[in-house]
Amino acid sequence: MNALIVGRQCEDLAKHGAKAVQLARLAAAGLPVPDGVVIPADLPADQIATVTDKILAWAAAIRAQYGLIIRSSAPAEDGNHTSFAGLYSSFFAATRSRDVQAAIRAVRMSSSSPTVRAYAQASQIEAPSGVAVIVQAAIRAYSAGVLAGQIRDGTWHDWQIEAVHGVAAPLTSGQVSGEVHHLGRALMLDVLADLVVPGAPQELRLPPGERITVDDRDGYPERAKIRTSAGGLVTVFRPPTWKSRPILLPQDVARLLELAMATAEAIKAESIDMEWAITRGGELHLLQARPLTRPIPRSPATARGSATSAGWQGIPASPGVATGPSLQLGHPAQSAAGMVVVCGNLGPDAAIVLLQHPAAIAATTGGPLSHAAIVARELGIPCVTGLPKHLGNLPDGTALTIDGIAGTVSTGISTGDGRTDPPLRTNGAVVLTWPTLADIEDDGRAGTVILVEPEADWKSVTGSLASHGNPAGLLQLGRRPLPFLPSGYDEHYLPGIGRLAWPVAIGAVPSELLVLDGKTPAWRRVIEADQPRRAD
Amino acid sequence: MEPVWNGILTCDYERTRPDASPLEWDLYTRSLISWPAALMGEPAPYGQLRRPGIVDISQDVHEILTRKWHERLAEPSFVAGLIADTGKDRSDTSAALDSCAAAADSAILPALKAATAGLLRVNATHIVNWLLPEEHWETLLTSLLGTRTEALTCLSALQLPDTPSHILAAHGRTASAGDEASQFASSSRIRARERRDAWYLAALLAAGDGPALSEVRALAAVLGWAATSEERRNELRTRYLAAVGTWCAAAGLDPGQITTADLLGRTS
Repeated sequence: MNALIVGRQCEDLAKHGAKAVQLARLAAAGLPVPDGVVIPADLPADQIATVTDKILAWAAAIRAQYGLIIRSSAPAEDGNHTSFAGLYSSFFAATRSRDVQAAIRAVRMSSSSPTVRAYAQASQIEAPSGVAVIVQAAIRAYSAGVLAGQIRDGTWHDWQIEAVHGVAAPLTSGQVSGEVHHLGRALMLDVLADLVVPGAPQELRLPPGERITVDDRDGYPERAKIRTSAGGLVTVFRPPTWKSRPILLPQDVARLLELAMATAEAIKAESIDMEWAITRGGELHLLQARPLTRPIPRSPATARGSATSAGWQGIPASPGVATGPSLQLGHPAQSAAGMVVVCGNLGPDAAIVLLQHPAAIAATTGGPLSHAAIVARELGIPCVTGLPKHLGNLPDGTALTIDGIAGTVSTGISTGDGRTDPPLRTNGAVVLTWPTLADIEDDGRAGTVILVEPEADWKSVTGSLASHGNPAGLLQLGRRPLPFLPSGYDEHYLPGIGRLAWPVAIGAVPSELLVLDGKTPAWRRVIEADQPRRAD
Repeated sequence: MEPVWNGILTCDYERTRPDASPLEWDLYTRSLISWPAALMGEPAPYGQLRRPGIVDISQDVHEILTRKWHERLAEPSFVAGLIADTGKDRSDTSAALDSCAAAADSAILPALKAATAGLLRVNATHIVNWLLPEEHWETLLTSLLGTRTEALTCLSALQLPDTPSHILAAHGRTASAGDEASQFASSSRIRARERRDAWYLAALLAAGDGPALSEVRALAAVLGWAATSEERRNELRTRYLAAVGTWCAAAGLDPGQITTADLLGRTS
């Protein structure tokens, strides 16, 4: 038995799996499939170490600079009706024996996962007893992604491409939507600030904060800071120059469609689900292909037909919901009144705009203690911070809705529910903090309760009350008895809250306590007082 | 803060403050390492300097120190001391910067040394941006007030600086008091204070006679302190960098080459 098969020689579905057979067929058709080797499904587990030595020798011979990718190839995988997409595991691994062995074992184990068995059962096919393993050199992609398309009469009927910088793993795992191209339209959704690439051994040893070189599409090298690394992959922050331009150029889209058409012809399919990568110099690589087993998936923006549904998640910074046209801070405008100001860091020069009554602030930096958040709260303006940087490219005048509690920004107008706060109607007493007696209003409330904090002097507080016309009680949080009960007051214990001194002349204690934020109750609680204690 | 990598957390100001000068990176990294000492008298350093701009912190050290920090932030007496001590740090630094401004070129260095030492302590408070127990507070307030929305509204209202933010303060220094923008700023501040007081009161009453009462008092004080610290720290940092720039210009030095060690070490 051959322990290791060169990828192009795969032809046995049971031993080599459908993916390996498919890739061999595509390579034979002259399509740009990366070289690889295959471990047959029936290889005994005790031979994995020996096979790994051979794999490492092969990797050295082909100069696999950025490690290996180790993928499953099951008999029914990538079929016409069952894809098993994402159900088997794939791993990047450095070219070290222990890492490669662990990855091979993990891929083989994934064939017996409950998810794979459940999918097989739902698809009415027999669950595979084992999987072959494909090993290829990891490709240091500038960009990668998926293309899904349907062909009728030899021409495209429908297609969609999703692209990210680096490898496609964040895209295929559903972490990001990436840049979407759909029938000639391009939409940039939540493209990650990071990009993930397979790393060379020396790069994988570098700690976060150091830099590695990544090549752009044209082969121009850029230094990129490492965010983290693990499992043969390095996550780096995207070079600033990459953020301001599209991932795919029109000619890339055209070449991907051409490749997908040729791939569909080679596998005799009228629909295609293809994973691809582009390396420096614009070189295309076909990583995987199978017939489309489901309708073309739509990203949220394309599915709903317009950009109005696109949304972004940030950090809640100042409460409230507001809608208005966007205005990038620093852009000329007669007034920011009613507009959603989009900004990064704020300096003193921002005051003039923020004091023009903007509807909301959408900041691409910072957290709840950033200067944008603090000034927004001072001014009572809804604010979300920590939003994706590409909001800084949003054209002025884009209708935005900000939710400062949910921490979201969405395009489009929120009409709200049209409700206004009803006038206060209560049989309860409004609680205030000492010494805010001047705020006691005659608005129909049953009375006012002054919360007396431990540091206050009770005699001073009660002395002030005596000279005040409105009925008012005194509240102390906690269970301990009141230090001083003024004449004409009863002491009541309010379970769960504290002790209340309430004027005897008024009678029963209020049925409810409220705290008002402006005219709106921020907190309210029904109370039940126990038997009063009267001053001696 | 970057994700944990091989048991290490990395704080990378080169990335988060790409336009900062080496002196600013030096200030941030030194004050980061010394925050446990500056804010809770804990001698253990928070990580090790890789280079000005980057600090590596063992995950164990991070967890031990932040756990201790969060426990102490629930103690009203500790919080009161923290507020007093950091307020004094700011006053001392401000006074040193006043001395820098008043000193003749040749006499500025001793004042700059004092300002540097002061600012390293003041700048230690920048850890409030990611080392406060916000999730715990959100959970606590949700349990007290009833919903997450009310908890977030309360937390937001409590994060109000004692005096106007540096953006509004700078506007107030240049605008006339009666203009519409100033009136808007002034009335908004009053309303923000009312909102803060209302939500503080709501949280106190919701805690009532339960065990969370002292923690509510502490968190409210910490949130106000954190917002105040961020705003006043920013002003002092701006004044400090200007003072260093003035000194470098007078002495014919390149401000891009100056470090805090230079400023702490040279007294004549």
